[in-house]
Amino acid sequence: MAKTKGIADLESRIARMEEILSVAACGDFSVQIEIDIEKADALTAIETGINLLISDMGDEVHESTKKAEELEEKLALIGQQRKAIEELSTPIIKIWDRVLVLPLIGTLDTRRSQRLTEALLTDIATTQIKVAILDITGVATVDSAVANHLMKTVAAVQLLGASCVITGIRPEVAQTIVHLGVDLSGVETLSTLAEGLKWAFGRLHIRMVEERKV
Amino acid sequence: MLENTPIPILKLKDFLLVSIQIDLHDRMAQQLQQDILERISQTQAKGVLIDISALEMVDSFMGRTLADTARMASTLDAEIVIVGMQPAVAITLVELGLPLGGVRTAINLDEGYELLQESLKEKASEKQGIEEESEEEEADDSGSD
Repeated sequence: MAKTKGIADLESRIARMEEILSVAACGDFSVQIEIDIEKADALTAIETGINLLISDMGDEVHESTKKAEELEEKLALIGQQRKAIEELSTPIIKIWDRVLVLPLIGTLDTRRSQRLTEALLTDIATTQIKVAILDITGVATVDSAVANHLMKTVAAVQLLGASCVITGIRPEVAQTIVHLGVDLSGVETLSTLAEGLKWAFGRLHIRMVEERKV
Repeated sequence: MLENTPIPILKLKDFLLVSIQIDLHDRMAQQLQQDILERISQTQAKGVLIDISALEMVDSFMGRTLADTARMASTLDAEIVIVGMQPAVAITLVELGLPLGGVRTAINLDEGYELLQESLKEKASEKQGIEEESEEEEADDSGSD
C-alpha cells in the first residue's frame, strides 16, 4: 500500500515537472519546482537541474532582449543622426525677398547632390523664388559626376523660370572643371557670394544706395 | 483633320493664354501646336503663355513639341513663355537632355506676363531705334544731294 502511495507521489511530481517545463517553454521563466530538501531522492536532483536550467534560460533571455533593445536604440540614433546630417547638408537660406542661397560645404556625392537638387527645386516652386545662388566656397573637390550634376541643377532651375548663379568656385575646383572638359558656358559664375547677391539685385531691379552722413 | 483639343486658348490683350490641365498624348500635343499657331496668326498675338503647372509628367515628345512650338511661334513674331513647371518635370527634362533650348520659362503667370511685356518693350525700342536710324540715313541722303 505504501509503495502505491509512493508511486502516486512520484507520478504527481513528474506531472508537476512536465507542467513547469511546459510553462517555461511558453516563455515564463519565473516558475520553479518546489523542492522538499529533507526528503531528497533521485528525483530531487532532476528537479534541481530543471530549476537551474529554467533560471539560467530566464537570465539569458532577459539579457538578450536587453541587448536587442540597446541595439535598436543605437540604430534609431544612427537614423536620427543621418537625418540630421542630411538636413544639415542642404540648408536653403532665403537671404532676400525672392533670393535663395545654397551654401554647399564638404564633399558632394551623387546622393547628396540629388537630394540638394530636389530640395532646391521644390523650394523654388513653393516659394516662387526668382534667383538661386549656389555657393560652393566650402567644396574642396569636384569630380565630373558632381560637376555634371551642378550643370543639371542649374538647367532645371532655369526651366522652372528662376535664374541661377554659381559663386565661390575655388582655383583648384576651376582647374578641375576645365581639365574635366565640363562646359560651364551656359552657367553664370561669379567670384564671391557678395557678387552673387549683387547680381541677384540686378535681376530683381533692386538698387542699393549708401546713405551718406551730412 | 484632327479633332479639336479640349484645351482652350484664351486671348488676353496682346497675349494668348493656354493652360494645359490634362496629360496630353502625342496627337493632342501636335493638335495643340497647330491650334496655337493658328490663333497666333489670327489674333496677331505678340506672346503666348503656356501654363503647365498641372502637368506631373512630360515625356521627350511633349518636351520637343513645346520647344518646336516656341521656335515656330517666334517666326510668327510671337514669344512663348512656359510657366509653372513642376520640379519633377524639370528634373525629367534635364535628365532626358532636353533643356528646352530657346524657350523662356517663368515661375508663375505673373512673372510670365511681366517677362512678355518686358520683351515686347525691348522689341518696340529696337524697332524705334531702327526707324530712327533709317530716318537719319534719309536725312543724310537728302543733305548730300
